[in-house]
Amino acid sequence: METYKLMVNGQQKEVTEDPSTPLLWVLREGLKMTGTKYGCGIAACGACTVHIGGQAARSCVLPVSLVNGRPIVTIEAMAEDPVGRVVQNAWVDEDVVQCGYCQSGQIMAAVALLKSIRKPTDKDIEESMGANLCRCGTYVRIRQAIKAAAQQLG
Amino acid sequence: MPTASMSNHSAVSRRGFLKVSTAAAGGLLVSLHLDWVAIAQQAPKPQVYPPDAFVHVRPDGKIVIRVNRLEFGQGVQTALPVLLADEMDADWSQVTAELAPAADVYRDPVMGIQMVGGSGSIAHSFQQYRQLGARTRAMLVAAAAAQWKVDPGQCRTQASVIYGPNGQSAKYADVADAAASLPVPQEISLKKDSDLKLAGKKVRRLDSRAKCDGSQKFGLDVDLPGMKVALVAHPPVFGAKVKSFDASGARAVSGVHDVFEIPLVRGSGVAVIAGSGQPNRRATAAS
Repeated sequence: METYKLMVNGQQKEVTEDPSTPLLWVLREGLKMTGTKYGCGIAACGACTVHIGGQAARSCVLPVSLVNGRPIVTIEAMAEDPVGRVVQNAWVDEDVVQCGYCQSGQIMAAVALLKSIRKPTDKDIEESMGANLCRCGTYVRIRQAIKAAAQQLG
Repeated sequence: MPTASMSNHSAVSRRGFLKVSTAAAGGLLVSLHLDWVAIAQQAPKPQVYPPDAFVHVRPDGKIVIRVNRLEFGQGVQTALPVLLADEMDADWSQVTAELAPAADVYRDPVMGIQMVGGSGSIAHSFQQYRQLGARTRAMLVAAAAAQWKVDPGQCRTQASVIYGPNGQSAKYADVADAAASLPVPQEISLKKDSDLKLAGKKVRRLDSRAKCDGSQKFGLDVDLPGMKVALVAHPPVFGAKVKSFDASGARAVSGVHDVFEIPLVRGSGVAVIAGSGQPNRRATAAS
């Protein structure tokens, strides 16, 4: 077991974990932040997507020992994020969610996309969001919501 | 909270869910099949559900509607409140939904068990939720009419407000306590289709925000004091049975409470019990 200092949503957190423990479980079980979801555990579905140093990352396969002080941002901070808030509102307006289990990851991926490309094309959306799976099949509304959010952000 | 007596509900046999038939191409077709006619004949007599188990009008005007079925994407946490709120003339902007706890009154009116599935949510609870809304409205109107000493038939309702014949008005929240002490009316009439304001119209889901900010609690997010978590290592082939297993590696993992063989639907697996999920995963890998 090792002690790590993590910067999560702007707050310093100290956790004692096995170095191989994936960040996902540190967030969910160590810090009781359950907004980030466990889907496949092998980085294949995107339900666990968070931002590490501003980049979308799959927390289920990222050992806590490799975070290396980079800031971690999760779905719980999106209401306070200028892009995150717009994306969440677009999601509500477009009635994107069904069961909702994948949507924390979808929103984290969409916010990362909109922060790097302000006016994403269909191709940009497919390339950056295509590996975030949704068994309800909300993809069409996800695309509409990203475009609506992009328009809002100007 | 009053609970309705449904002790003589019909038990639909589990076998009734599965129908095995021969497909046209000659193969065996096993499908989810419900014999609606037989179920309806066995169904309990229509009953008067107590509105206070389903609707809570709060002093601040918020209206909480309890949904007798689990939401898992099909939209029932919005659809049933729509039906109730429409008959009730509730202010939709103030309506929230919550999952009902386990209790007899929340059993499916047709199946007689508390359940979700078989595409029956609306079919089975359509009349139930409309009647609940109509009864709630009638009780609120009766309470206001009694205060004003007027005939309830002279009152009308809109967006959680009751209007009397002489310019009186009262918010639902202001007469909710008085209404709760009135008897539940047996006879009520439902709105004509043309008078419906929410049902059949585009209404945004009530559960979106919580599913967009991480606050919605799913099964995996439940964390009770002292809760143990079980993780089951399944055999590599469906139906296979455990011959033997060495639990020493799993038991050596810190936080592991127990390791034992557990029967599955067919065959068996090995369950690892720990205080939280992470030791389970390490121990399951070690077992």
